[in-house]
Amino acid sequence: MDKKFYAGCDIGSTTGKAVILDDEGIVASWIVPREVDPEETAVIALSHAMRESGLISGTEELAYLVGTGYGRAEIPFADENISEITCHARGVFLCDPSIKTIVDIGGQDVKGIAMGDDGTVMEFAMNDKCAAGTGRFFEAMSRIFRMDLAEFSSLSLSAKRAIPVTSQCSVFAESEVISLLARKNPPCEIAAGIQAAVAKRCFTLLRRVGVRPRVTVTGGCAKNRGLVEELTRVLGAPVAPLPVDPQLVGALGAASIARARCMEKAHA
Amino acid sequence: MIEQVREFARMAGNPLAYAEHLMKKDGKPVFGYFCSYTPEEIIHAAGLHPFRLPGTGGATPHADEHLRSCSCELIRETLEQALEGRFGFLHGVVFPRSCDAIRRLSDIWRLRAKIRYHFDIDLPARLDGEGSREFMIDALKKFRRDLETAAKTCITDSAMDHAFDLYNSIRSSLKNLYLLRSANPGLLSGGDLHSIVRACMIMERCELDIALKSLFEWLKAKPASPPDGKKRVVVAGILCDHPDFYALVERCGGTVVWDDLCTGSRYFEGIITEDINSIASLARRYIDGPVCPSDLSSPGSRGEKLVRMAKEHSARGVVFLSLKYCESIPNGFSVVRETLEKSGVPSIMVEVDRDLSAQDETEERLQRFLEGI
Repeated sequence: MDKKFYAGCDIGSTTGKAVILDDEGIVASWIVPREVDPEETAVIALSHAMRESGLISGTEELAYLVGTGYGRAEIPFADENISEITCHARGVFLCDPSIKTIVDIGGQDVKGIAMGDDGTVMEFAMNDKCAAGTGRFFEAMSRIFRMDLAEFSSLSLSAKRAIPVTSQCSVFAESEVISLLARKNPPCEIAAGIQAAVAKRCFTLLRRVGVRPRVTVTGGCAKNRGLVEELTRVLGAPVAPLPVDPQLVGALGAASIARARCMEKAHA
Repeated sequence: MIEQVREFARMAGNPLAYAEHLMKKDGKPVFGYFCSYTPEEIIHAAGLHPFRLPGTGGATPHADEHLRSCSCELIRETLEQALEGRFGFLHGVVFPRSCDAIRRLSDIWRLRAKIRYHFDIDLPARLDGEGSREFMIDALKKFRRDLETAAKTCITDSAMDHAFDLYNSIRSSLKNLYLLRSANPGLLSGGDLHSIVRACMIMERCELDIALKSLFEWLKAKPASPPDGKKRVVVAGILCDHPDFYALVERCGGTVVWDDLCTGSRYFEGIITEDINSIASLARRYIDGPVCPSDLSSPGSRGEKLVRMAKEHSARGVVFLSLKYCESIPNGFSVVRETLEKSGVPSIMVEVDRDLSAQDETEERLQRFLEGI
């Protein structure tokens, strides 16, 4: 019997992600920066992932493809599109079924997701149209410090105390941080204050859906160690690490749903 | 869009052009109104044409001089048009004082918009409160007197009876359309039905009555469409001024089979029966009929009503539609939601901007909600 491949393509606001699965597990994955056209982002991400697999040369060789992320409706070769919330829950459940609560911090939104014991979404909450606490927010903050996100994260971790940053709005927070820097406050303490402000915001969001251990963080901002440590402190419980790149979880969930769809069809 | 709906959509899409055309054609003075608590029947009986004031989208630089930029979008857009002089064709305007935003709009409009006749209808603080019926009757009597001045005519009881008959007929036809579509959502898209309801608030009512009946007969004769797998939902809120919202729901995997909106079922629910005098009959429709979720009813009773509505129309959930910066739906939402949850009816609230083309977050939340119900 021919080997079957299933793909998930997560076209977000800052990056495009693709994951290819077979019946055993992950075959290949890829992350690319977003292009202007979401369709082009999807084509590039998937082409790279297919090339990395060394087994697939075209989308027609994929048994099923599920699109997710904000560009999900623009993926021309997708068999179906599914919401990010469902895909993240599915991806996390596949990685670690003991996890019950997810904070997904993407480029333009923050989501709190509560999962049932079978991995289904029980409740979810999202930030409204506001960039506070999102990837965009961190990009803006790290720009003020003339650093990339990894350097900004390390800077915050070097602080002994945090200077509170009280503005919720990204634009006002930027002004507040510039003022704090102008007053010669230690940059690391301001950076730690930024992480604390976002962690508290995530905590509020999680309280709306109910926090059940274990908790994990997905999305690009899960790579911000300073934020994850601050979130651990605010939650009073450790944030569970995932065995895959947390930025890929949405695409992984989408690929897992693609595989399940094929199985459903086979048994129908 | 099906051909039979195109004319309704054209009117709903450009209401000002239609109103001006109607004035030229019939010479009937147009009387603007702003809320479903406007007794259109009295306006019609006075020989005036009732015309619901529309929003427009777009920037509101003139209105922003008078209202905070975080005020209800619809209020700001309507004031903007008034300040730009786009409602110059109106003979008069009436504001039922149903929410804070409309009260402020009326106050500013009266001073700045320079429309010849400007009336307010004071509503009881709670429609289910003690003395509300008498209050409503007095408010309607005063409005009748005000309109007699504006129309320079005496509004006779026989003109009122004729208006009741006409509006009862229009409301029955609209309800029949809703019921037909609830039974077979494939007959008509949600957006098309929305256009029809919006046109009902604009169109010459005698022509409308005939057009609705004819549309209903045509749709009734159509064969039922096969099920499309879309999940049935009820939409609740103050109003929907977003024709694209229905397409958004459909794109996310749902279909709106009923609503609790003043641009929907609250416009047609409640038939006027004349076993008492005409003003008392009219008041009864407001007091005993569907209640706007602005400030006029308790969240508990709203929840129970929505549970009944969802069950009656086999809806799997309720989508609360909140206009940007409108406080009426978010306030008390937790109580309404709890009532729905206890009855096993899931719900979600979405706040929408005027432009629905870039509503990624709304689409994500809506799609996930529909996936889960």
